[in-house]
Amino acid sequence: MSFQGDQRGFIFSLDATLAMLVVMIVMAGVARAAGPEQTYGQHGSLRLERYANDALEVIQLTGALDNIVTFVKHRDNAKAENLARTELRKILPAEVQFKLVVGSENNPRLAVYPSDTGKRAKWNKAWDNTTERATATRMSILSPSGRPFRVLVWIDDALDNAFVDEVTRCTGWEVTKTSDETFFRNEILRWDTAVTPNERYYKAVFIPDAQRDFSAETESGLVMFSLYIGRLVVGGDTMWNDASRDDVWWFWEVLGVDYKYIGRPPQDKRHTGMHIIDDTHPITASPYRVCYRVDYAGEDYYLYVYRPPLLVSTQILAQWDNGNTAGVDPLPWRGIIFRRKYVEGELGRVGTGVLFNMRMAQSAMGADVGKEDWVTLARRAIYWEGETWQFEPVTLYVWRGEEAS
Amino acid sequence: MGLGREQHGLVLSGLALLLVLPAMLLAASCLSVIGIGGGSTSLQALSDKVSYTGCDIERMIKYMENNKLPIDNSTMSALAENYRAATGLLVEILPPPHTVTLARKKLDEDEEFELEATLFGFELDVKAENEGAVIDVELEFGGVEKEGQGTDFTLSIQQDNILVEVIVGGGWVEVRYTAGTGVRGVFLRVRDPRGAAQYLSTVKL
Repeated sequence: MSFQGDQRGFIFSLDATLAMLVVMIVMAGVARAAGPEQTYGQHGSLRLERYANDALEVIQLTGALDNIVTFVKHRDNAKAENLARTELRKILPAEVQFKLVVGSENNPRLAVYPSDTGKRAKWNKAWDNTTERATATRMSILSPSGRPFRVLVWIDDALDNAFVDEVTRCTGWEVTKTSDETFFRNEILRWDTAVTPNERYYKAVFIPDAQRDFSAETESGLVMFSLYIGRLVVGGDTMWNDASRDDVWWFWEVLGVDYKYIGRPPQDKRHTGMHIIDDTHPITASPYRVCYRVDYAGEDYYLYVYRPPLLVSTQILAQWDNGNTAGVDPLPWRGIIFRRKYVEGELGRVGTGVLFNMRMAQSAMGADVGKEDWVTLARRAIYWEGETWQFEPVTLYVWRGEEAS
Repeated sequence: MGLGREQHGLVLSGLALLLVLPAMLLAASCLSVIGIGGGSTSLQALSDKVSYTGCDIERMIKYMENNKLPIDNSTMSALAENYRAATGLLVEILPPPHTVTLARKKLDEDEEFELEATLFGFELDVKAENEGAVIDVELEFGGVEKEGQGTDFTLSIQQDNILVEVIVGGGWVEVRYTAGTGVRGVFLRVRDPRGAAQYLSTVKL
């Protein structure tokens, strides 16, 4: 067939067809590279990341995360699980599954999936099989994992009791309170036989204000504890009431006080505050600072004059602004004395002592003067410095998938 | 050379070439767009992570302040280590006293450098430009301004217990600040290991 002059059109030659073929192949390749899978790979994972971060942010802002951590601190994992599950299920879409872990991934304190624990094996399998996960992390403060922080406390009046309740509130510590000296003496050096190798049961002993002269045996136990086992924290009239015998001088020395020197200045309205003089120690560290004043009901409660011994390694953390005290002690009276470790502890433990030269429980709870500061300082003093404040992550993993059936 | 009758082949005509060329250009552009898109998505995810981590550290420090937990070197180191382990990011949390290098850059000729930050409530603004062999620096900190020019010099301004220094030498510009013991606050910096995203903040206590 031949084309006439008025018959016009395009001739699609073979080489143009081949060129088009090349074009089609290139375009198809590009289309595949930019296809929905690739787009999803980028934006889907970003969305999943945001689901995780936003969900954790929401439960933090609503206070639910704090409550979950508090339940974990008190080893009430059932309540923590229920709360976490309910809150996260409300926030996340049904097609997004989650795993909330409190603590380290290898040894979690709590792991929560979207449905109850009866399906844990299935959830674990689903979790292992998922190929695309997003993660969000927040930090929380917990006591050392799996090892309760146990404190033995001597209380002999209602104010001491109320003060100890304030100090230990929301800490997760295991507190044993007593006013029976025989029980107290037997508990000080108690062994924890539930762990291997056995170790001492208590990590700290707290005597806010003992109104009695402890027996030589009790004091001997306290000295042993403070030298080799843990933190001994003493305040109030305790040292004054134990000043009657010379044979217990080492009880004084483990608390950083020269046993030859004790005074009791008259109650004086001038002595109404204590100042921090060393803000490098964890007990008085920031937000406290040098010259920070802690109010004290000095007109109602005694304080004492203690002089640190020469041969014992002590650190004065706070002092009273006592002005001219001729005849008692020309130096400022010590407020908080920290006695450092000076012998090797038992089984890797560290023995230290802290002396509060004031009736802090009475000032805080009886007169409501400086309450917040006295509670904070006592709490910090009790907490075993070998176990610094423990931070543990709260991690939320999310992935797309069906609920485990 | 002419083709004989028995020699078959294809001739890529001008029209065919014109069809193929834009297709190639289009394909290259598309691939480039995809690459940039992927990079920006991962950068977005990374910056989200850095930002959320920085905000969470600020929250923790405020929480610790409110609950009178000790904000000292050992506690802050432990906190930073935990964040590092949990997120894989580089985390610095420093209570005073501390010295921090905020930026360090070698300036080529005609290259400019600018840094803006807020340090414990004071606005910091540093501008530097390499003008031939001489580096010209403008430093403003807490409303005080200083200027300097040369190859080897240091500019510094102190506000309260915070000292800011711009150190110039060998073509390098370094911005450094020192917080003294009287400063009530914590410096924090969160970065990804490749330096693509950074969260820098100071928390006043």
